[in-house]
Amino acid sequence: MFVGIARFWSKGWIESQFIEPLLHFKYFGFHWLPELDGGGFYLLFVLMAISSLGIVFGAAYRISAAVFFLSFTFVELTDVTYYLNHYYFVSLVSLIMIFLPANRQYSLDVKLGWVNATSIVPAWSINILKFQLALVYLFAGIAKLNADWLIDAMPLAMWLPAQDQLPFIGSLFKWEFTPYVFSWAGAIYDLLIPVFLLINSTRWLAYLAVVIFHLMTWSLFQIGMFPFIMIGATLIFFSPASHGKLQKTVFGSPDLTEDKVVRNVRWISLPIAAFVVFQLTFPFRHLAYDGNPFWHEQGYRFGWRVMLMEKAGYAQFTLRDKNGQSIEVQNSDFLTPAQEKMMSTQPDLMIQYAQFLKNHYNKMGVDTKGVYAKSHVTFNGRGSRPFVDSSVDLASQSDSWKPKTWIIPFES
Amino acid sequence: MKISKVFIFCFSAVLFAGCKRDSEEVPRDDFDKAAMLKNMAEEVVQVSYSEWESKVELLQQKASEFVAAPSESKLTKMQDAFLDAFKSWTYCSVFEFGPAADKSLRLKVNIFPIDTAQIEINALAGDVAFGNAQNAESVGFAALDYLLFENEEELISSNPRQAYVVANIEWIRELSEEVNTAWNSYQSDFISNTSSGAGSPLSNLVNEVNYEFELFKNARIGIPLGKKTLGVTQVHKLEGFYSEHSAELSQSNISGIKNAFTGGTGLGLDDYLNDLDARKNGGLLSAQIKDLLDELESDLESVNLKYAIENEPSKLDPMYNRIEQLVVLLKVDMTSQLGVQIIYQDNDGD
Repeated sequence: MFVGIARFWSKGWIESQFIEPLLHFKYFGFHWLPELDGGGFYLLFVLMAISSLGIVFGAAYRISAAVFFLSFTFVELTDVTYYLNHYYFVSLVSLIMIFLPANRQYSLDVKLGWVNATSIVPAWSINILKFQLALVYLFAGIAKLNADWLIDAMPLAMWLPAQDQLPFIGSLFKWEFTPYVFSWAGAIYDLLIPVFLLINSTRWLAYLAVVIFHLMTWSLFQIGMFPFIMIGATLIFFSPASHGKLQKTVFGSPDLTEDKVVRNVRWISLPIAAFVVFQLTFPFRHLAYDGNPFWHEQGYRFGWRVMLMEKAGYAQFTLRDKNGQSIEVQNSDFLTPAQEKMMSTQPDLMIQYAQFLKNHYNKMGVDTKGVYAKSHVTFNGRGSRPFVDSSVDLASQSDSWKPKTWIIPFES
Repeated sequence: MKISKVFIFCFSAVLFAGCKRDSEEVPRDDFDKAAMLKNMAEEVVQVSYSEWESKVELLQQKASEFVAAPSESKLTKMQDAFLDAFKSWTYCSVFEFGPAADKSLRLKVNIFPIDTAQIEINALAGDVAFGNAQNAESVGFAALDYLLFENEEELISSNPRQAYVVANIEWIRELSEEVNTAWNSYQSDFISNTSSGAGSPLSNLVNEVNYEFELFKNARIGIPLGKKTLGVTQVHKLEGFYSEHSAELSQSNISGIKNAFTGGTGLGLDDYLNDLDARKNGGLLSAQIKDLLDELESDLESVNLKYAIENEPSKLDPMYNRIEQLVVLLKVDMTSQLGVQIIYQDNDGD
């Protein structure tokens, strides 16, 4: 994470993503979060960086984990535009880590005498991490079980040919069947890899597959740090004996323990159960809505739908006043290109934008009647088509769990 | 062993899925992206910039003839040369990547609407610090448009005013020379990178076609038409307002965009789209884009924008509808099919 933070900072993304934009798209239920100014964000990033090091070196571990979790999650909750499945993953794992006794060996906490070294930890503390990781793969695999992915090899059939300049594999992409191989292999990999990682005899082979898979996706797509985070995190599946050997080689002998077992707090089973149930059910909430979830995106986020579809859109917003006159909004006046791209395909963001526009123009003295959008969206290679009802005043809609009736139903 | 069983299953599943689609396994037409980029660089961009540079030089020549012996006839010759050079610029404006982007050419050479008060001040002084942010709206083609057409007697009689015109032209000429020369060396970079990620030549080309077309939609047509101002037209914000050749300038702009899309007579984005069999509503996407561009060119052939906006703005509605349709095809369908993002930065994934 430290590397990720440094990279983020050095690319100037703190400025362009959090400080410069005029408005931020808030997450549902998190509108109450305070707005920070520039200095505030840099402070948060400093905190994140320091606490991530604290986690690595096991220094003031629990506090570091908590600080990291809070600062990272706060930053990510600032703007829906930058939602990434792997940021969600990092938040979850750092939340879990607060409760894990990860500082009982090879840590500064032990060296400084703040905690006692132990060599035995409760099973749940390792299993919960395995669960979380397996869950990501499983749901990513389940998400791929759809007609576009399996039968039409979409979106890979569009993405792979665009990468034909890559050495070795690039030349494969001119063949019609290549995207099918990649699509099916990807789905099968996602669904089966947790199983093979859990079985002792297949673990090493499975891990090799993990490394190959992530390195390949890293070279094919612009996905930043995610592949490396996954390669590292998947190590959790290896046995204590293997880890012990590795650690001895790299870090030397483990700290002397009094062979105390970390106390297993009894009340922990309820939160764990709640966490597990939530993780298993939340990604399925899209089933409560009619229509194609790729199209209407209700319940799409937080479902481990990684790199699953190619979607693009354009939304022309028009503000009408009470005299029947209108103002055509130039999105670039208010939104960054990234925000505009996300907003034009995600209806809940369109509501926020419409309300922002109404507010903005009202303050300028316009007697606003409503804000309307003519929008077109394409996904997975289909021709673009109208997305929302252009006669509905989006500013007066509210974002809620109820289905959004003003999204034009998708017809294949 | 379990692994081998799974592997066999996977392999056969994959073969089955692949065979389902096509009876013969032949490669798609292996579209030569490098050849397309080469055509764009050599036959489209370089050629356009060379032409622009020579038109500006011609303008400069006419300007010095005028200044040597100011007269109405010499002024007319200079005006004609000016319009030629101006149109050539709007044709090139779409190539804002590589050397042009490095120089922020589009933001320098033709910012409109202009700040007429500032121009008057500069014209009295006879010179100005070009490239200075304060003066951005009082230099360049749009400023020359004002100086050469708004007050002709003043221009014929005033020395500092003429000096200011000459200074502007020289500044533009320098830029055109720099960009033209820089493209000679940039070409190899452009041609050698056939990826489509952010910052790649293909991505830049697609992004700029979009950006330029949105500029056309908003700055050249929409804003003067009153689209952002509750229907109250802003005719003075037209490009080329003073010379009253706005439609020609816009037409040239559309031709440039079309050229950037088709690659002239050689390989272009349209051929790439065809190779990918990109379609919308059954028909080829490239054809739909090209048709709309052709229609816009002919719309602009027969209209006087200034007159239309001042007297019968609703007559421009059909053209504006075409513009709106085309934005969707370019920004949504084309970019999606080519695997290019309309984002100007790398990102962290999905």
